[in-house]
Amino acid sequence: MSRRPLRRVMVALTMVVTASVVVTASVIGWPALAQDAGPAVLTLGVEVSPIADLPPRVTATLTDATGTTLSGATVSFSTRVDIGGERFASIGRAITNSAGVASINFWPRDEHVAIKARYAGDEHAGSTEAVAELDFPADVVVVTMPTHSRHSLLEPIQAAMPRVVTGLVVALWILLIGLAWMTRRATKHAAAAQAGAGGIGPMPAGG
Amino acid sequence: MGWRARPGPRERASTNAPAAQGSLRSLATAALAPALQPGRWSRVLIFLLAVPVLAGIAAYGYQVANGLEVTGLNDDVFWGLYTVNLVTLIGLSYGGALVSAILRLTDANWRGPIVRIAEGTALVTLAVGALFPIIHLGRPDRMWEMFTRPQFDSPLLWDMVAILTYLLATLLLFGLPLLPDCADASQRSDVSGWRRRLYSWAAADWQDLPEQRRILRRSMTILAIVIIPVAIMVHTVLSYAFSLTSRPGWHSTIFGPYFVVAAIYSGVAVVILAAVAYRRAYRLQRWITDEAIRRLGYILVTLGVAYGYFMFTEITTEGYVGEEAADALLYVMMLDRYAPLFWTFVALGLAIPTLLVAFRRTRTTTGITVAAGLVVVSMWLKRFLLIVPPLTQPLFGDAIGGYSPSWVEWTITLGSVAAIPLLLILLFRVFPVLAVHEMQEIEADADARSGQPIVVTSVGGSP
Repeated sequence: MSRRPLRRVMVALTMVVTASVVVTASVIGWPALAQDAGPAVLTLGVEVSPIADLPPRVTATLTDATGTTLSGATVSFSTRVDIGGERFASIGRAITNSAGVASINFWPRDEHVAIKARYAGDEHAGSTEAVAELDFPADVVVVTMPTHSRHSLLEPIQAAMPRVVTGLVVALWILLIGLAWMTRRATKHAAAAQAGAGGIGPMPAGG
Repeated sequence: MGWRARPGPRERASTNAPAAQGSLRSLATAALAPALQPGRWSRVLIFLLAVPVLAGIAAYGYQVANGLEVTGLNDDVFWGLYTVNLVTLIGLSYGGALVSAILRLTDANWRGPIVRIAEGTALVTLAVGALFPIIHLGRPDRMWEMFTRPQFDSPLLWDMVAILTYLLATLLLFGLPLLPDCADASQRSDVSGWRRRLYSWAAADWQDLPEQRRILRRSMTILAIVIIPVAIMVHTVLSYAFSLTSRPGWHSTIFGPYFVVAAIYSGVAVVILAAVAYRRAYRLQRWITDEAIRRLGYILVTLGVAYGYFMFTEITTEGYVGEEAADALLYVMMLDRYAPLFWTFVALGLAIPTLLVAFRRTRTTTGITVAAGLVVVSMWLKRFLLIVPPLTQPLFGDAIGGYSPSWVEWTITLGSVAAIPLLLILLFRVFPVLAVHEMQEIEADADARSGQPIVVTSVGGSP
């Protein structure tokens, strides 16, 4: 087959496929876009189990703009942390049930925790997110390591330590860099002094 | 002294001066042999080592592109091979620097042929080891935030500060004694081009004047004194990353000294391996003697016994109390899942090296080299046992975690292992492998003590 007829076939095929898509879409309708559906709404809450040792559950109820609950949608949860600056760190994802509720287990580190829930949006509703300060009972709060909020009798020492150690490190760096610089400088100076005093040029180094 | 060529390098005022000059020239030539006459096998070795290094770099690129999910790390075991490598390599470096510093301070007269190799080993193992905290980051660009948003309460920040400080000190420990050797090298007729320019710059107008020798000796003494606490600090701070964590197996008061002894133990072993490799490759038996290797073997076995003592103390203290979490950890480590690794370490890392050095029949250079090789590999295994099993034990509930390193982690690990000899070879393709000036000084001191007159001669000129 020569090249020209092949090109004609390709063009024809493309036109047929395009026409088919347009006709089909006109008959059954284009897929709904998220912005057409209007923004969804997320409402955050906490459920605490009456049974000891079971973790509390953070819930997010997802509804569309009309207030209808949305099931089968993925909701991402994150919590506000202060690690190298304030940011939200992921704590998990869940899919909404038939009541539009997505929930995850969450052991809080504090009685008040900022939680963010996010829904990316789909053909039923636009993307949305919600942030809420949730309150947890004191008996479910888990403390795994010393925190700033815990008062310590050693606080004066703890406060001074970073400054003291930083000072020591800076002093050490000055000592090391100074040592290298001084050694090179003194060595060159000694050579220059020798040359100046005796008029002797550089001699071969070694033993 | 074992390396001593007769007559001494500081030539006696006698008739055998030409012979001594020849001896000095042969020492200087031997020290520069890896740089000036590397041999064809050296290029082959560089190529063979470069392949795994490049594979490791490619694997790291893959990890950066795809995130840490390509590793075997998970919610339970969040520190794996990368942390094992970090602790191991910093430890290896530590041993090299301490061997050099302690031998200088104690004026051990057999140190001469060992110190340069020990300092070079310290430098390259540290340079490779210091990369692992960055490799371990899913977002390496965030390393910058250690400087812009430092958390002064975090041991990890101080880890970085300690490692950088130690890197600076190790650079000086390697660089300062090079002054006279570079001056010697720059005078050689077979040195030209960039090498000559580099050596001349590094020599800083060194003319072997008494004043210059005094300055260098004083600087090296200060540096040797400073580097010992710095090195101890580095490894203690590294241990804080574990011991300041409320986790069974880690939260232990013994961890600081435990890490320090482990570091010197494995560090001395790698110095032995490097010294034996160079001695064999460049026929340096005349300088790096059996006696020097044997003395390093004694240090190795002493540290091995000390490490065994620390391990026994740690296990006994934790196991005797019978606290539930500690019991469970010791059980999986000694009798269950990790028992094969643990007992392999006890046999290959402690028992066999001790026996090899203890018996006269096996206390040969070959025997000590085998012992050192076993120690290096076993200590890596011990770091794995120290880091991974405690993480598999649950802090809540009873779900046991697991960890299986991925091919990415293994490839990067193999790349780093190959990078150490590669960098060492490249380092000594540039700088003298033996501390010529220091060996001469030790020799001269010995001659002075024996009351024999000395006269200064030059070793410059052609080889």
